[in-house]
Amino acid sequence: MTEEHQNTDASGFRMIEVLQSQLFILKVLSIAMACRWKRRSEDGRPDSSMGKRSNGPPSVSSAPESPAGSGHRIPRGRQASSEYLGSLSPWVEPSPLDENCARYILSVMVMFLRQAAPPQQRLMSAANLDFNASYHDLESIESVEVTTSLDIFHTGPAIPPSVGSYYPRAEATRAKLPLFMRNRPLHMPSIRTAATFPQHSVSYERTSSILCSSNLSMNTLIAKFSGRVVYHLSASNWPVVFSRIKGKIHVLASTSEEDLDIMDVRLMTHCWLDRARLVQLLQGASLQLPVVT
Amino acid sequence: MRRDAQIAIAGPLRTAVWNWIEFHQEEFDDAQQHHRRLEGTPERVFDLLYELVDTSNKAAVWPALTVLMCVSNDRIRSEYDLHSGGIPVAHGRKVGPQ
Repeated sequence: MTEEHQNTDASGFRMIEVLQSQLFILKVLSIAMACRWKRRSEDGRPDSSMGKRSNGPPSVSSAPESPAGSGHRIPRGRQASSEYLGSLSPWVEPSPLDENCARYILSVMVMFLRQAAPPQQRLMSAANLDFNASYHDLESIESVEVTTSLDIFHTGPAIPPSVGSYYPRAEATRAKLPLFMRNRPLHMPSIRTAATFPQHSVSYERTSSILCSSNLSMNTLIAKFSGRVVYHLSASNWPVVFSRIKGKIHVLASTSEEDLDIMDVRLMTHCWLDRARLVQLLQGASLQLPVVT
Repeated sequence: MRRDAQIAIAGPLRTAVWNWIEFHQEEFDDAQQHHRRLEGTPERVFDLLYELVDTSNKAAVWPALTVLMCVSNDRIRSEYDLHSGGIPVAHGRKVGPQ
Protein backbone atom coordinates (compact mmCIF):
# COMPACT_ATOMS: atom_id res chain seq x y z
CA MET A 1 0.00 0.00 0.00
CA THR A 2 2.87 2.33 0.67
CA GLU A 3 4.22 1.64 -2.81
CA GLU A 4 0.88 2.43 -4.40
CA HIS A 5 0.73 5.65 -2.47
CA GLN A 6 4.23 6.50 -3.59
CA ASN A 7 3.46 5.80 -7.23
CA THR A 8 0.47 8.00 -7.41
CA ASP A 9 2.36 10.49 -5.37
CA ALA A 10 5.21 10.57 -7.84
CA SER A 11 3.10 11.32 -10.89
CA GLY A 12 0.74 13.50 -8.90
CA PHE A 13 3.67 15.37 -7.42
CA ARG A 14 5.06 16.18 -10.82
CA MET A 15 1.79 17.73 -11.74
CA ILE A 16 1.84 19.70 -8.51
CA GLU A 17 5.28 21.06 -9.24
CA VAL A 18 4.09 22.30 -12.60
CA LEU A 19 1.14 23.96 -10.94
CA GLN A 20 3.38 25.53 -8.35
CA SER A 21 5.63 26.96 -11.03
CA GLN A 22 2.66 28.29 -12.92
CA LEU A 23 1.36 29.89 -9.77
CA PHE A 24 4.66 31.54 -9.06
CA ILE A 25 4.88 33.03 -12.52
CA LEU A 26 1.33 34.29 -12.27
CA LYS A 27 2.02 35.90 -8.91
CA VAL A 28 5.05 37.71 -10.26
CA LEU A 29 3.16 38.81 -13.35
CA SER A 30 0.23 40.13 -11.37
CA ILE A 31 2.53 42.09 -9.08
CA ALA A 32 4.39 43.54 -12.05
CA MET A 33 1.14 44.64 -13.60
CA ALA A 34 -0.13 46.00 -10.31
CA CYS A 35 2.93 48.22 -10.12
CA ARG A 36 1.95 49.92 -13.34
CA TRP A 37 -0.97 51.60 -11.68
CA LYS A 38 -0.10 54.99 -10.41
CA ARG A 39 -1.55 56.20 -7.21
CA ARG A 40 -3.60 59.31 -7.43
CA SER A 41 -2.35 61.73 -4.83
CA GLU A 42 -4.58 63.93 -2.74
CA ASP A 43 -4.44 66.94 -5.00
CA GLY A 44 -5.31 64.92 -8.04
CA ARG A 45 -2.06 64.67 -9.89
CA PRO A 46 -0.94 61.11 -10.54
CA ASP A 47 1.90 60.38 -8.22
CA SER A 48 4.36 58.01 -9.73
CA SER A 49 6.90 58.08 -6.93
CA MET A 50 5.23 55.36 -4.92
CA GLY A 51 5.86 51.74 -5.62
CA LYS A 52 8.15 50.15 -8.13
CA ARG A 53 7.77 50.97 -11.76
CA SER A 54 8.05 48.09 -14.14
CA ASN A 55 9.68 48.57 -17.50
CA GLY A 56 7.17 48.25 -20.23
CA PRO A 57 8.11 47.70 -23.88
CA PRO A 58 9.77 50.74 -25.42
CA SER A 59 6.79 51.44 -27.62
CA VAL A 60 4.69 52.34 -24.62
CA SER A 61 5.18 55.88 -23.53
CA SER A 62 4.25 56.51 -19.98
CA ALA A 63 4.25 60.10 -18.96
CA PRO A 64 3.64 60.18 -15.24
CA GLU A 65 4.40 63.85 -14.97
CA SER A 66 1.62 65.09 -17.18
CA PRO A 67 -1.54 65.60 -15.21
CA ALA A 68 -3.56 66.29 -18.32
CA GLY A 69 -4.55 62.80 -19.26
CA SER A 70 -5.57 61.37 -16.00
CA GLY A 71 -5.64 63.89 -13.23
CA HIS A 72 -8.91 64.96 -11.75
CA ARG A 73 -9.43 66.79 -8.57
CA ILE A 74 -10.70 64.57 -5.86
CA PRO A 75 -13.88 66.27 -4.75
CA ARG A 76 -14.76 66.55 -1.10
CA GLY A 77 -18.17 65.36 -0.11
CA ARG A 78 -20.89 64.11 -2.33
CA GLN A 79 -21.48 67.05 -4.57
CA ALA A 80 -19.21 65.64 -7.26
CA SER A 81 -20.54 66.09 -10.73
CA SER A 82 -20.70 62.99 -12.84
CA GLU A 83 -17.51 63.62 -14.72
CA TYR A 84 -15.48 63.50 -11.53
CA LEU A 85 -16.89 60.21 -10.40
CA GLY A 86 -14.09 58.16 -11.84
CA SER A 87 -11.59 60.09 -9.81
CA LEU A 88 -12.74 58.81 -6.47
CA SER A 89 -10.79 55.62 -6.79
CA PRO A 90 -7.29 55.99 -5.44
CA TRP A 91 -5.60 54.70 -8.56
CA VAL A 92 -5.11 55.93 -12.05
CA GLU A 93 -5.48 53.43 -14.83
CA PRO A 94 -2.20 52.18 -16.21
CA SER A 95 -1.15 53.16 -19.67
CA PRO A 96 -1.95 50.61 -22.36
CA LEU A 97 0.44 47.85 -23.23
CA ASP A 98 1.29 47.09 -26.80
CA GLU A 99 -1.82 45.55 -28.30
CA ASN A 100 -0.33 42.32 -29.56
CA CYS A 101 1.36 41.82 -26.25
CA ALA A 102 -1.92 42.38 -24.42
CA ARG A 103 -3.75 39.99 -26.68
CA TYR A 104 -1.17 37.33 -26.13
CA ILE A 105 -1.22 37.73 -22.36
CA LEU A 106 -5.00 37.51 -22.46
CA SER A 107 -4.88 34.26 -24.42
CA VAL A 108 -2.47 32.79 -21.94
CA MET A 109 -4.63 33.88 -19.03
CA VAL A 110 -7.72 32.37 -20.60
CA MET A 111 -5.78 29.17 -20.95
CA PHE A 112 -4.87 29.21 -17.28
CA LEU A 113 -8.39 30.05 -16.24
CA ARG A 114 -9.71 27.23 -18.33
CA GLN A 115 -7.21 24.80 -16.88
CA ALA A 116 -8.10 25.78 -13.35
CA ALA A 117 -11.83 26.01 -13.74
CA PRO A 118 -14.29 23.23 -12.97
CA PRO A 119 -16.22 21.88 -15.97
CA GLN A 120 -19.35 23.84 -15.23
CA GLN A 121 -17.46 27.05 -15.77
CA ARG A 122 -15.78 25.93 -18.94
CA LEU A 123 -18.51 24.52 -21.11
CA MET A 124 -21.91 25.81 -21.98
CA SER A 125 -23.63 22.46 -21.59
CA ALA A 126 -22.17 21.82 -18.18
CA ALA A 127 -23.06 25.30 -17.02
CA ASN A 128 -26.66 24.69 -17.87
CA LEU A 129 -26.92 21.31 -16.29
CA ASP A 130 -25.60 22.21 -12.93
CA PHE A 131 -25.87 25.87 -12.27
CA ASN A 132 -26.02 25.64 -8.51
CA ALA A 133 -22.72 23.86 -8.24
CA SER A 134 -20.87 26.83 -9.65
CA TYR A 135 -21.36 28.68 -6.40
CA HIS A 136 -19.62 26.07 -4.31
CA ASP A 137 -16.20 26.58 -5.73
CA LEU A 138 -16.50 30.29 -5.09
CA GLU A 139 -16.70 29.40 -1.43
CA SER A 140 -13.60 27.31 -1.66
CA ILE A 141 -11.73 30.30 -3.01
CA GLU A 142 -12.91 32.24 -0.01
CA SER A 143 -11.43 29.76 2.42
CA VAL A 144 -8.13 29.72 0.56
CA GLU A 145 -7.98 33.48 0.71
CA VAL A 146 -8.27 33.43 4.48
CA THR A 147 -5.16 31.38 4.98
CA THR A 148 -3.10 33.49 2.63
CA SER A 149 -3.97 36.76 4.27
CA LEU A 150 -0.92 36.74 6.52
CA ASP A 151 1.52 38.69 4.48
CA ILE A 152 4.84 39.61 5.95
CA PHE A 153 6.39 41.25 2.95
CA HIS A 154 5.24 44.82 3.00
CA THR A 155 6.98 47.56 1.17
CA GLY A 156 6.13 51.12 0.43
CA PRO A 157 4.49 53.81 2.46
CA ALA A 158 1.24 53.37 4.28
CA ILE A 159 -1.99 54.48 2.67
CA PRO A 160 -3.16 57.87 3.77
CA PRO A 161 -6.22 57.14 5.88
CA SER A 162 -8.46 59.51 3.99
CA VAL A 163 -8.07 57.57 0.78
CA GLY A 164 -8.68 54.22 2.38
CA SER A 165 -11.70 55.29 4.35
CA TYR A 166 -13.81 56.40 1.42
CA TYR A 167 -14.90 52.89 0.66
CA PRO A 168 -16.83 51.49 3.61
CA ARG A 169 -15.81 48.11 4.79
CA ALA A 170 -17.66 45.59 2.73
CA GLU A 171 -18.50 43.26 5.57
CA ALA A 172 -21.06 41.45 3.60
CA THR A 173 -18.95 40.56 0.60
CA ARG A 174 -20.21 37.26 -0.44
CA ALA A 175 -19.00 34.35 -2.47
CA LYS A 176 -20.53 35.79 -5.58
CA LEU A 177 -17.40 37.88 -6.02
CA PRO A 178 -14.69 35.29 -6.14
CA LEU A 179 -11.62 37.37 -6.69
CA PHE A 180 -12.62 40.62 -5.11
CA MET A 181 -13.63 39.22 -1.83
CA ARG A 182 -11.10 39.86 0.77
CA ASN A 183 -10.24 43.37 1.65
CA ARG A 184 -6.59 43.07 2.29
CA PRO A 185 -4.56 45.84 3.77
CA LEU A 186 -2.28 47.31 1.21
CA HIS A 187 1.20 48.21 2.37
CA MET A 188 0.30 47.73 5.99
CA PRO A 189 1.29 44.90 8.30
CA SER A 190 -1.78 42.72 8.70
CA ILE A 191 -3.98 45.41 10.16
CA ARG A 192 -7.38 45.45 8.58
CA THR A 193 -7.99 48.91 7.30
CA ALA A 194 -11.02 49.93 5.36
CA ALA A 195 -11.80 48.16 2.12
CA THR A 196 -8.94 48.09 -0.30
CA PHE A 197 -8.34 46.27 -3.48
CA PRO A 198 -6.40 43.04 -3.26
CA GLN A 199 -5.66 43.20 -6.96
CA HIS A 200 -3.44 46.17 -6.35
CA SER A 201 -1.26 44.50 -3.80
CA VAL A 202 2.37 44.78 -4.81
CA SER A 203 3.68 42.55 -2.11
CA TYR A 204 4.36 38.93 -2.77
CA GLU A 205 1.75 36.70 -1.19
CA ARG A 206 3.14 33.53 0.14
CA THR A 207 1.17 30.35 -0.05
CA SER A 208 1.41 27.91 2.81
CA SER A 209 2.98 24.56 2.11
CA ILE A 210 -0.24 22.80 2.99
CA LEU A 211 -2.01 24.54 0.19
CA CYS A 212 0.89 23.98 -2.13
CA SER A 213 0.45 20.25 -1.98
CA SER A 214 -3.19 20.28 -2.90
CA ASN A 215 -4.26 20.23 -6.55
CA LEU A 216 -7.53 21.91 -5.76
CA SER A 217 -5.94 24.78 -3.88
CA MET A 218 -3.35 25.24 -6.57
CA ASN A 219 -6.01 25.46 -9.24
CA THR A 220 -7.97 27.87 -7.14
CA LEU A 221 -4.98 30.11 -6.63
CA ILE A 222 -4.00 29.91 -10.27
CA ALA A 223 -7.50 31.02 -11.17
CA LYS A 224 -7.26 33.83 -8.66
CA PHE A 225 -4.00 35.24 -9.96
CA SER A 226 -4.93 34.79 -13.59
CA GLY A 227 -8.02 36.75 -12.74
CA ARG A 228 -5.89 39.51 -11.32
CA VAL A 229 -3.82 39.70 -14.48
CA VAL A 230 -7.04 39.92 -16.49
CA TYR A 231 -8.15 42.70 -14.15
CA HIS A 232 -5.01 44.68 -14.87
CA LEU A 233 -5.26 43.98 -18.56
CA SER A 234 -8.84 45.14 -18.65
CA ALA A 235 -7.78 48.40 -17.09
CA SER A 236 -4.90 49.06 -19.41
CA ASN A 237 -6.17 47.46 -22.62
CA TRP A 238 -9.91 47.39 -22.37
CA PRO A 239 -10.55 47.22 -26.14
CA VAL A 240 -8.55 44.01 -26.39
CA VAL A 241 -10.42 42.33 -23.55
CA PHE A 242 -13.79 43.65 -24.62
CA SER A 243 -13.43 42.51 -28.20
CA ARG A 244 -12.62 39.04 -26.98
CA ILE A 245 -15.71 38.91 -24.79
CA LYS A 246 -17.87 40.39 -27.50
CA GLY A 247 -16.49 37.98 -30.06
CA LYS A 248 -17.39 35.02 -27.92
CA ILE A 249 -20.89 36.34 -27.29
CA HIS A 250 -21.30 36.73 -31.03
CA VAL A 251 -20.12 33.18 -31.62
CA LEU A 252 -22.58 31.92 -29.03
CA ALA A 253 -25.34 33.81 -30.75
CA SER A 254 -24.67 32.70 -34.25
CA THR A 255 -23.78 29.08 -33.90
CA SER A 256 -26.00 26.12 -33.26
CA GLU A 257 -23.25 23.94 -31.94
CA GLU A 258 -24.22 21.95 -28.92
CA ASP A 259 -21.33 22.62 -26.68
CA LEU A 260 -18.99 25.55 -26.64
CA ASP A 261 -16.23 26.74 -24.44
CA ILE A 262 -17.48 29.75 -22.51
CA MET A 263 -14.30 30.79 -20.76
CA ASP A 264 -14.08 34.00 -22.73
CA VAL A 265 -17.47 35.11 -21.50
CA ARG A 266 -16.35 34.52 -17.94
CA LEU A 267 -13.62 37.06 -18.49
CA MET A 268 -16.12 39.76 -17.69
CA THR A 269 -16.20 38.63 -14.09
CA HIS A 270 -12.60 39.67 -13.67
CA CYS A 271 -12.67 43.02 -15.39
CA TRP A 272 -12.32 46.48 -14.00
CA LEU A 273 -15.60 48.06 -15.00
CA ASP A 274 -16.63 51.64 -14.76
CA ARG A 275 -19.97 52.89 -15.93
CA ALA A 276 -18.98 53.42 -19.55
CA ARG A 277 -17.62 49.94 -19.82
CA LEU A 278 -20.58 48.40 -18.06
CA VAL A 279 -22.84 50.08 -20.57
CA GLN A 280 -20.71 48.75 -23.39
CA LEU A 281 -20.94 45.27 -21.97
CA LEU A 282 -24.68 45.38 -21.46
CA GLN A 283 -25.12 46.87 -24.88
CA GLY A 284 -23.13 44.07 -26.45
CA ALA A 285 -25.16 41.50 -24.56
CA SER A 286 -28.48 43.07 -25.47
CA LEU A 287 -27.60 43.08 -29.14
CA GLN A 288 -26.84 39.40 -29.21
CA LEU A 289 -29.27 37.99 -26.70
CA PRO A 290 -32.51 37.93 -28.68
CA VAL A 291 -33.59 34.40 -29.44
CA VAL A 292 -33.41 33.65 -33.11
CA THR A 293 -36.26 31.37 -34.09
CA MET B 1 -29.32 33.02 -29.40
CA ARG B 2 -30.02 29.64 -28.00
CA ARG B 3 -31.46 29.58 -24.53
CA ASP B 4 -28.57 27.75 -22.98
CA ALA B 5 -26.19 30.24 -24.48
CA GLN B 6 -28.23 33.02 -22.89
CA ILE B 7 -27.95 31.31 -19.54
CA ALA B 8 -24.23 30.88 -20.00
CA ILE B 9 -23.98 34.64 -20.39
CA ALA B 10 -26.35 35.53 -17.58
CA GLY B 11 -24.06 34.18 -14.86
CA PRO B 12 -20.95 36.20 -15.64
CA LEU B 13 -23.06 39.23 -16.46
CA ARG B 14 -24.50 39.11 -12.98
CA THR B 15 -21.06 38.97 -11.41
CA ALA B 16 -19.87 41.83 -13.60
CA VAL B 17 -22.75 44.08 -12.55
CA TRP B 18 -22.22 43.25 -8.88
CA ASN B 19 -18.55 44.08 -9.25
CA TRP B 20 -19.51 47.42 -10.67
CA ILE B 21 -21.90 48.11 -7.82
CA GLU B 22 -19.39 47.15 -5.21
CA PHE B 23 -16.34 48.89 -6.57
CA HIS B 24 -17.83 51.95 -8.14
CA GLN B 25 -20.29 52.85 -5.48
CA GLU B 26 -20.21 56.50 -6.30
CA GLU B 27 -21.19 55.76 -9.90
CA PHE B 28 -23.95 53.50 -8.64
CA ASP B 29 -25.26 56.20 -6.33
CA ASP B 30 -25.16 58.63 -9.18
CA ALA B 31 -27.05 56.24 -11.43
CA GLN B 32 -29.72 55.82 -8.77
CA GLN B 33 -30.32 59.52 -8.50
CA HIS B 34 -30.38 60.47 -12.15
CA HIS B 35 -32.11 59.20 -15.23
CA ARG B 36 -30.63 57.05 -17.92
CA ARG B 37 -27.11 57.07 -16.59
CA LEU B 38 -26.76 53.55 -17.90
CA GLU B 39 -28.59 54.45 -21.10
CA GLY B 40 -31.35 51.96 -20.65
CA THR B 41 -29.13 48.96 -21.19
CA PRO B 42 -29.99 47.11 -17.95
CA GLU B 43 -33.67 47.38 -18.78
CA ARG B 44 -33.08 46.00 -22.23
CA VAL B 45 -31.07 43.06 -21.02
CA PHE B 46 -33.62 42.43 -18.28
CA ASP B 47 -36.42 42.21 -20.81
CA LEU B 48 -34.45 39.81 -22.95
CA LEU B 49 -33.56 37.54 -20.06
CA TYR B 50 -37.05 37.72 -18.63
CA GLU B 51 -38.30 35.56 -21.43
CA LEU B 52 -36.26 32.73 -20.02
CA VAL B 53 -37.85 32.87 -16.62
CA ASP B 54 -40.48 30.25 -17.07
CA THR B 55 -38.65 28.00 -19.42
CA SER B 56 -35.35 27.57 -17.67
CA ASN B 57 -33.64 26.74 -14.45
CA LYS B 58 -34.52 29.56 -12.10
CA ALA B 59 -31.20 29.53 -10.32
CA ALA B 60 -29.57 30.39 -13.61
CA VAL B 61 -31.58 33.44 -14.47
CA TRP B 62 -33.10 34.99 -11.38
CA PRO B 63 -29.89 36.34 -9.82
CA ALA B 64 -29.04 38.13 -13.05
CA LEU B 65 -32.54 39.53 -13.30
CA THR B 66 -32.34 40.69 -9.69
CA VAL B 67 -29.17 42.65 -10.07
CA LEU B 68 -30.28 44.15 -13.37
CA MET B 69 -33.40 45.38 -11.66
CA CYS B 70 -31.23 46.87 -8.94
CA VAL B 71 -29.45 49.05 -11.42
CA SER B 72 -32.55 49.95 -13.41
CA ASN B 73 -33.31 53.09 -11.52
CA ASP B 74 -36.26 54.27 -13.58
CA ARG B 75 -38.10 51.00 -13.29
CA ILE B 76 -37.58 50.61 -9.60
CA ARG B 77 -38.85 54.06 -8.95
CA SER B 78 -42.00 53.58 -10.96
CA GLU B 79 -42.62 50.18 -9.40
CA TYR B 80 -42.00 51.63 -5.97
CA ASP B 81 -44.38 54.49 -6.52
CA LEU B 82 -46.95 52.14 -7.94
CA HIS B 83 -46.87 49.79 -5.02
CA SER B 84 -46.54 52.22 -2.20
CA GLY B 85 -50.29 52.63 -2.19
CA GLY B 86 -50.39 55.56 -4.54
CA ILE B 87 -48.99 57.90 -1.96
CA PRO B 88 -46.44 60.12 -3.68
CA VAL B 89 -43.15 59.67 -1.92
CA ALA B 90 -40.81 62.59 -1.49
CA HIS B 91 -37.40 61.96 -2.97
CA GLY B 92 -35.17 60.26 -0.43
CA ARG B 93 -37.81 59.72 2.16
CA LYS B 94 -38.74 56.22 3.13
CA VAL B 95 -42.33 55.22 3.63
CA GLY B 96 -42.42 53.46 6.96
CA PRO B 97 -45.23 51.42 8.45
CA GLN B 98 -48.09 53.68 9.36
